[in-house]
Amino acid sequence: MRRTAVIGRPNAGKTAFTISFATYLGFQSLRFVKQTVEGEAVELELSQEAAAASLVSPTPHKTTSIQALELECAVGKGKRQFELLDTCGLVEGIHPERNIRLAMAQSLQLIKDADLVLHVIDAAAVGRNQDSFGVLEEELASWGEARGNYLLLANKMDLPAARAGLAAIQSFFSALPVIATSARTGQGFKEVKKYVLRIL
Amino acid sequence: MRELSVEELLAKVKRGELGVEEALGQLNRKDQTPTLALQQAKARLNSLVGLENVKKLVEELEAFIVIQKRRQQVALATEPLVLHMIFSGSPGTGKTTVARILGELFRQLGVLPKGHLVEVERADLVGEYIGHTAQKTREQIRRALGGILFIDEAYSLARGGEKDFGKEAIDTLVKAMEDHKDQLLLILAGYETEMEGFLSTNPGLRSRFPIQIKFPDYTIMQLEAIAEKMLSEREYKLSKDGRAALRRQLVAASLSGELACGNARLVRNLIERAIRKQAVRLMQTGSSSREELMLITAGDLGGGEGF
Repeated sequence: MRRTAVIGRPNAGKTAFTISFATYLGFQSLRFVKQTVEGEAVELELSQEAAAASLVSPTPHKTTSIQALELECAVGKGKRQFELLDTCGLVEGIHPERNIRLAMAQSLQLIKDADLVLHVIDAAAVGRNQDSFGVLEEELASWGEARGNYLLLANKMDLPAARAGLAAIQSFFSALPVIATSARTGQGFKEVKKYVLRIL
Repeated sequence: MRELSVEELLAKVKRGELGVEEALGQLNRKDQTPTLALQQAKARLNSLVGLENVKKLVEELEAFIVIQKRRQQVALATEPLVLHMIFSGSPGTGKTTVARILGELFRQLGVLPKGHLVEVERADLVGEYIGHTAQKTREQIRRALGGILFIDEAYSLARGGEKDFGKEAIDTLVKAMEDHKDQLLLILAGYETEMEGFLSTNPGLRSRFPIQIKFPDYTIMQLEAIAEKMLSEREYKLSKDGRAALRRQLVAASLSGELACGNARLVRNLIERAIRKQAVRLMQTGSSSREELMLITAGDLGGGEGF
């Protein structure tokens, strides 16, 4: 099955995006398979509301394992299946917590293996602080350019500061496609779906 | 510093010895290094004397592979990559050398996972009793998986008539070409006339080998260039009269027909013998200046005891 990795800094809205994108594709109940850093697989079936309540949090590094969702999309008369993998947020440097280091290594491995990478960026945070891009973004951008199949999602577009953030993201990642999204309002999901289906 | 593998990099991140962005950076450069290796392989091919048709074909193939991959990325229909080849030409015209470079090139382009070359001949494929051949052939195919199986003097598989086991080897090879489509590249090599006869008696084979490359005999001037290249690789050089002596020898070999059955290999033997003779000469004269240690003279190349 083709794999799509959702990556980004902590609190960019990766999990919220994953959940609402699955809902947008018509899934009421979400069957997550958590691939923990210890190598176990834990299944978890949640309704959209329950998932949003239990998996999404304003504190960074809520997600510390890969959360895989098997999704399918109607294409013409058939269906296209793919895996959407929510990952642990990436930060620069060496994280003091072992668990998070393990989870970030898992994310890196996945970025390397995935067929498509969706890089989620908090556009509102970028709008508030124009210098929020670091080495991490530079490396990811050059990687994305080299590998292809790399899409940037300027997320949290429902917030007022995000408009300025979107412009900053577009100029920083000038060689990569950017789609403005909002996990809360569903903005941009149509374009994301189109892009995903074209690649997978 | 030795380059770390992906696993080692990730293990370092896990142990907290390496920052996430540094690991990303190293993974990044790792992904980009193949292009350097690709350029080196191409440079090696382009440094070969002559073989203009081969160089042009390789360029075409590279462009074709890259574009097919890009088409695949944007989900356009792609042509299957069937790259089995037939190399026809006299001995010493560069068939094995080119095959080896192609393996490396295709590995860098992502067509072959390993890109190594397994060189076999009839005796490696054909067995002695019924059933033995398929087993032996499959064993060689297994060795070559992920790379190139290069069958030298492939026409010999078809000699010996109806009862010969060579036919069984051919059948096994044809089956493997289908079964391991993405993992095996087959090159059949041999003299031009014999290969032509081989293919015309096995009409099904020709269509399975879409790429047919002819390796022409080298001209005397090309052989001179090859000799100079071989010498400079070994850090030797020809004196003026040495160059004249080399040409005389090549012309003589060409007239006697020796050249056509040795080509670059004949030149290599000539050069290696000259290097030995130079060593003997220097031992006798006792001189060992840097210049003298490098120079090959007419005397080293002369002496007509054949090759």
